[in-house]
Amino acid sequence: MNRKNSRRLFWGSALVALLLQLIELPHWLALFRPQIVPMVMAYWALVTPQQATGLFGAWLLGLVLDVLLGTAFGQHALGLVLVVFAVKQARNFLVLFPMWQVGVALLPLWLLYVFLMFWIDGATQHQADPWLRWLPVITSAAFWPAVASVLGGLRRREREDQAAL
Amino acid sequence: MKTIGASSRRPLFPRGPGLGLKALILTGLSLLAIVTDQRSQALAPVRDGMAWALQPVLWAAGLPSLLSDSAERLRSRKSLLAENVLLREKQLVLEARLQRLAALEAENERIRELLESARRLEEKVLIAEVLSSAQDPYRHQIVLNKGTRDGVYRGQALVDSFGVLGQIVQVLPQTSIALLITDPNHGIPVELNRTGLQTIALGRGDGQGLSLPYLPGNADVKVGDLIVSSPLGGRFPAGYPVGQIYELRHTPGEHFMEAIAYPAAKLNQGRQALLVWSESYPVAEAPPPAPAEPHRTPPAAHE
Repeated sequence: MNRKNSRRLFWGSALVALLLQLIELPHWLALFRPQIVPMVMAYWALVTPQQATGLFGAWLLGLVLDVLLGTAFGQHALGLVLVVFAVKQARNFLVLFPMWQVGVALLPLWLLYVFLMFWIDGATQHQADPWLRWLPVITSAAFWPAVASVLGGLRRREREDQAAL
Repeated sequence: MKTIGASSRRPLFPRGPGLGLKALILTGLSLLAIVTDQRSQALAPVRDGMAWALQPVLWAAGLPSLLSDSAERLRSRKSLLAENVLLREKQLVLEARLQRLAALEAENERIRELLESARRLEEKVLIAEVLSSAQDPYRHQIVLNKGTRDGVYRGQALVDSFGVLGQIVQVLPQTSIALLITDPNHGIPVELNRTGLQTIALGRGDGQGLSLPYLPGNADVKVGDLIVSSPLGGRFPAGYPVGQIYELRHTPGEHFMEAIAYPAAKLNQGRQALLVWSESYPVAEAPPPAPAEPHRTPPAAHE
């Protein structure tokens, strides 16, 4: 029961993140768009204590993102798997801090993700502006508390429903 | 339930492969997919299948801009009337011009017949709506509302009323994805309108430039020259404007001169684009298009 619910929450939040990543924005605003999908994946990796859950989901979601964005097949999948893996590895350390500090601590992770995307883009002959690409790293860190509190609220409500039953 | 919830306890004996192994396998699979996707077309069916299944997501992501568009449509009657008058005037002018063009075209056709060339001046075309433009600011792609059902095929040329926009790279039943000429992956055979010099124009990836990197050092090229599409390669119809040269770069020690051009087409501004069936593509192979919509002209002077 509990497992089914949390799985529903995981995929629901993944779908919303996907839509937020895809919604059309004016060009100058699109440059600042935070990396919502890796953020949501990192959140779930942080709050679920089971070792290996969420990894396969993140991989599938990455493939979906690749198809929708028209990037090399597997590019975002690779990035998301590595993000989830890194968060899982550092989980015991990260859970000691309040959420907003975790946001700061995860900044290198967004940097790694953006760098991977940049690198694979370059390897597959898709050179792009090398300076503006790093903007989402900053906005991702800035938006982390918002994403974490929204998802945390959803989780708490789900758990209260569970307790009421 | 006084103890911690079962969900937040770590199992003592986890089942299944561990985190590191699983991550390693998935990383390997991703790398394999990237390399395969780069080197071959083996993954194209998977991609097409997923793209087909994900159409609702694309549609949902396009909803906000669709809504803002329809809000724009609810403009005041007055401005619409004014626009109507303007458009009518414009049509009058264009029609007058068209009459002259008809005469010229007939004359041209006669001369071509004399030359025994089998070139058609007008191609079969189809108007497509632009559903959404690139979600990724570093890729220049647009999604169109015509697909295999309308006879669209991979590699088909796309133009707007100012020039060549790009070509179709992926076709789905009801939609298709086009790559714009400014994408760094895009190249188009072109011809300098003034001298007839044949060369290739590549996208520069900054969203507004084309680069002609393979010009001979002594080529007769000037700033302001118009470049038009060339029929070489058989993919693009001949004679559509592609861009205008605004800068020439001589790199000392290099064999080639590079020219930079602005694209002629309004790349991110229109909501409509024109799909063109090029001469070399067998139109008969395409499934029958929707009745009356594609304007076919009688094939002129075929041999």
